[in-house]
Amino acid sequence: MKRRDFLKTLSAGSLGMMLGNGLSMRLAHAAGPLDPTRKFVFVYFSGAWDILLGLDPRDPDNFTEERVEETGIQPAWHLVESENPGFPLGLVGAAGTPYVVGPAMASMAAHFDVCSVVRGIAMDTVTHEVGRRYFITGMMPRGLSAAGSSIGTRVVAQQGDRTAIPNLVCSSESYNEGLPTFANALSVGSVTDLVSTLEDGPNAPAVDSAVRQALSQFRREQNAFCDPSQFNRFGMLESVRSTAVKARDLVEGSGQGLAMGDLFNFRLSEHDDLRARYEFPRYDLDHEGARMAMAFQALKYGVSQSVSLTAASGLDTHDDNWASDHPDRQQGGWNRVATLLGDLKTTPDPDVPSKNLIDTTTVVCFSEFSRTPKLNNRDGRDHAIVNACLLAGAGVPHNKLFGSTSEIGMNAMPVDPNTGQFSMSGMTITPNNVLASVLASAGLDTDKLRHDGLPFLRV
Amino acid sequence: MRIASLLILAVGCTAMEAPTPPVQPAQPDPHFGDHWSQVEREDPEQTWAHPDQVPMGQMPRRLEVEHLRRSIPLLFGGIQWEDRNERSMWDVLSRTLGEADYLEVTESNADPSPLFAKFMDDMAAQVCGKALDRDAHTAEANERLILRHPDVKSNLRFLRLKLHGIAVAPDNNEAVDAYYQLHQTIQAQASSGQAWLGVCMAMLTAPEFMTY
Repeated sequence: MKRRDFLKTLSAGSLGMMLGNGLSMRLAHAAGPLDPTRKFVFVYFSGAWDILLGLDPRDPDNFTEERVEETGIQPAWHLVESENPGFPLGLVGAAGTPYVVGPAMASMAAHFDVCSVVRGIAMDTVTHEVGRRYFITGMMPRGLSAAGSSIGTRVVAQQGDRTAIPNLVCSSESYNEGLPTFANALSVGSVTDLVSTLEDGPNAPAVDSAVRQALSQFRREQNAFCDPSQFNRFGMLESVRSTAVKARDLVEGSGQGLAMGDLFNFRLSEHDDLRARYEFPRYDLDHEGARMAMAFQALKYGVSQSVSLTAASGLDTHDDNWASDHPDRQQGGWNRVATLLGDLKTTPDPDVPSKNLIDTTTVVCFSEFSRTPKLNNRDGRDHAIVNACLLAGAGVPHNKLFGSTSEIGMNAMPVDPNTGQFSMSGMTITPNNVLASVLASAGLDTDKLRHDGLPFLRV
Repeated sequence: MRIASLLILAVGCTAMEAPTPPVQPAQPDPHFGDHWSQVEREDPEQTWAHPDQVPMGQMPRRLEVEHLRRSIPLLFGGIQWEDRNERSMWDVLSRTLGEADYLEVTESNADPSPLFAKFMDDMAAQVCGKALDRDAHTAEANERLILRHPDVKSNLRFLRLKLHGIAVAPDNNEAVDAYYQLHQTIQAQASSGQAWLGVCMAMLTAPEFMTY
């Protein structure tokens, strides 16, 4: 019997009461039936975002410059105003929404109805790689090295590879520790590289169809020369062969009748509308907007089950570029998220045509940690250990706020695990239990994360 | 003391008079015998080897980008995998192929992913094509990169050794049969040149080349 099962049995029995609230919470949030059609989008804001401009703002009329020594919180909108004239400053809310967000998230107001905000997440690190990998895997890295597999890889390992590119990663990281190789991400640096992967050329010379056909047949057959029992002890032989076959299948495959490469080749004129909505130039497929459009296409055409991407970069602003660059860059990321959510709301799911993609897709927006609430002596912000994230779409509560940060120094506050509201005797939210909740919401196993998810994030 | 000294001297003289014959260095194995050598099975009838019988330290790994960046020009007379502007594709696709930049990515990715396989297919098509073009203009057989022997099976043995490090004995057809069939299939439908292109691409993307 596995340790987890043993503990569950114990908690279900007469000793359950004695073991306390923590263990019974594990029992309460055991994974339900697997949802094989659930899709996921993991949106990364690279460089550590300023949550005062986004997910966890403070009113500058209350948190004034005069009170900085008292509160340790300095919105410093006046600097944004002078360095970035025209940037719309103001807290953003919506009728019936229990929270407001910062000015960089103005475009998200139209989608609060499908979103929830989780504040007061303790990252336990201020090292970029560690925070990023913690939020990608849900497990605290070993040193700088990721521990465990990416959440997208876990999703595909359990759902099976029922799509052409089940785990698509663009300009982000992916890990597979001990899961089947079919769950490995197809990880590209840009949409340009994705298109190159899915079609021949321009740097791949045309090969005669007879050669292609014979090669494909050759690769599908097992070459009996080498000793599979020895070489294939770790499955490498099959991996190399099967991936070579799959690579050609992708080039020759299609999504709803369209060549796979054309779905993502946003230079084509049939994608004029996508380029306009996601705001990127025709010939710049390395643009963050192109990545978000890629995510939408991958979901719309049933190409992927999990998509991970970087939606905004260059947020690591320790100097006066915080005021000049950070607001626009973060705002750009949220604008792309808002466009994606809008598209998911109006597009039918290819697997479940009676539902729109927003009903079958979970979107997680995160950064490695946040920035200090008080400016440093260069008018920039350094690394802060507290964080926040946004959850949207399927399997997560809508229009809710969970967790909080303190009014002095913006520290993560404990919450009641059942309500997500402040409780002095409660628990601290971590990426581990947020991501366990996301997995559990689709009936996916959370054993490796050693957490069954947070009851307050159950729908 | 004097007797002991004499004894030592006597022993030394004896040793000098009858030196042991020098140990002959073992003949080097003509091929790399790591992953491809056969396992001595306890039960010869058993078709698979128990993992305990497999020597440790032989876990196969996929070649990394840096291995390929250096080895392809060595194997193909300086031929590089390049884009239209003669930029190295290893550099252009560095991040996508999983190479560490030690700024944002600190570990090289060595997964045998479909993405890696696709680009290796592109690489093989270009490099093999260039090599065959050069061979077509090289009169001296010994200087050719791919087409070294007129006999197909002899040339396949040459390529198995060159690209896979596997020495195939002249009487061993099993080790080249699959490639021979590939060659014959393409030749029947296209041309001899296309047949060698297919064979070269198959060998460059085979696990025997891509792993070590």
